[in-house]
Amino acid sequence: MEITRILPDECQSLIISLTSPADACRSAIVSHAFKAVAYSDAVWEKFLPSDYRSILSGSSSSSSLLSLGKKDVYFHLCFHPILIQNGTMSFQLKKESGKKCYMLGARALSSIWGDTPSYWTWKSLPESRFSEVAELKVVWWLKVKGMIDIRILSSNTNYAAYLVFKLRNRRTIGFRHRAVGFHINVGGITSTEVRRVSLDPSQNETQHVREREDRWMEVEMGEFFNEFGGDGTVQFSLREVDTSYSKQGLIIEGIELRPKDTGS
Amino acid sequence: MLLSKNSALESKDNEIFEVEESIAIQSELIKTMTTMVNSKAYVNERNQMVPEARCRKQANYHVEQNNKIVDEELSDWESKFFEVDMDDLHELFMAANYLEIESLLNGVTKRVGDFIKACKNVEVIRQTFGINNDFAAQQEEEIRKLNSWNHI
Repeated sequence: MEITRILPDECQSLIISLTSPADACRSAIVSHAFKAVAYSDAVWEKFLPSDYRSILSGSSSSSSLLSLGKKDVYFHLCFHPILIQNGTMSFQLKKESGKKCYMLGARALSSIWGDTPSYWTWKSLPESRFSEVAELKVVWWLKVKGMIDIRILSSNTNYAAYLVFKLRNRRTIGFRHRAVGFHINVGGITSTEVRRVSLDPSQNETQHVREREDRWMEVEMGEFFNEFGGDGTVQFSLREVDTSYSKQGLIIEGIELRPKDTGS
Repeated sequence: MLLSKNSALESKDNEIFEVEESIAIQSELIKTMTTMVNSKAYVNERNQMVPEARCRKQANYHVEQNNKIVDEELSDWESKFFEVDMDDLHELFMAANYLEIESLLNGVTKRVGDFIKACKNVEVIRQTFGINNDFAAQQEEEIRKLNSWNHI
């Protein structure tokens, strides 16, 4: 069937909206008529999260973004995280699926000694997406926590949380070849996920730390599955409470939550 | 004991199908015509229509089966029902569109979407759907470049 001649446009849009963003982009190369359908708002509105308008309204860039075609909104959100919640969080989409990714900036996290100037300082770094990052001056009892309302995440999705950080070249103490603990609680169930990983591993240790595209480092804290209709909060924390040694020099950009393929 | 109402529907090629009214009205078109024509409950009603030929039978079959099978078996049955080639899908589409049967339309559009997903590249899409490439080489190249995707 010569699809572009037989089926009405709304039907063709519906068909393409049932495929994927990658398939829609591939379809745009097929012919002029197919391109018009593949790039139509009707298709990309379906790929965007249903609540994208209210999410965008919490950002300063909303009016200019909302005036774009839906496909452009989609790709903008994939490649340019936008700041929301008074600049303490960022939001973007995963390109392949349109699922939601959030990063809690350091200001959105709480630390046991957080607001005491002698333990942490707030700095502005040009490579950060946020106006401020937190740098650890010195603590013995290290605990950094964050939490997020599970309802803002994409449902039926497997998520992983990543600590996004750097270690100062010099004056970093307490992380070299030592592990820190990561905990994830979903909906108040005590520690469904606990792991110990080194932020500064030796050469022969398994490398869990990797460099991101934005030049920060990241390490996976754990993963969880967000069921459809989930409720409550997800809490994540970084802990190292062996007080026999001090910790210094950790710079935290934030904690990122993004979809992770199961089994990868 | 209530006898279920049956509608007798006649297709363009003069075949008569008898279906339970509850199934017949899954078609928005039939529903509208029934409401207009009938005002009393008869055991058999006769509605005259002129839909396309074989499509009718397939549409009925689908709707009928839809009501009989439980959920898990339904999705299995549905995938088999739609495992047809493009020409049959075309007929199913025309029937679903004319008769305004939403569930059938959804099934067909999803199946066509699956076809597209299965196409590994643009050329395969063109062949599967018989679409002519009306882009000049340079235009096509430009779209590929501007396309924000990496693997096309």
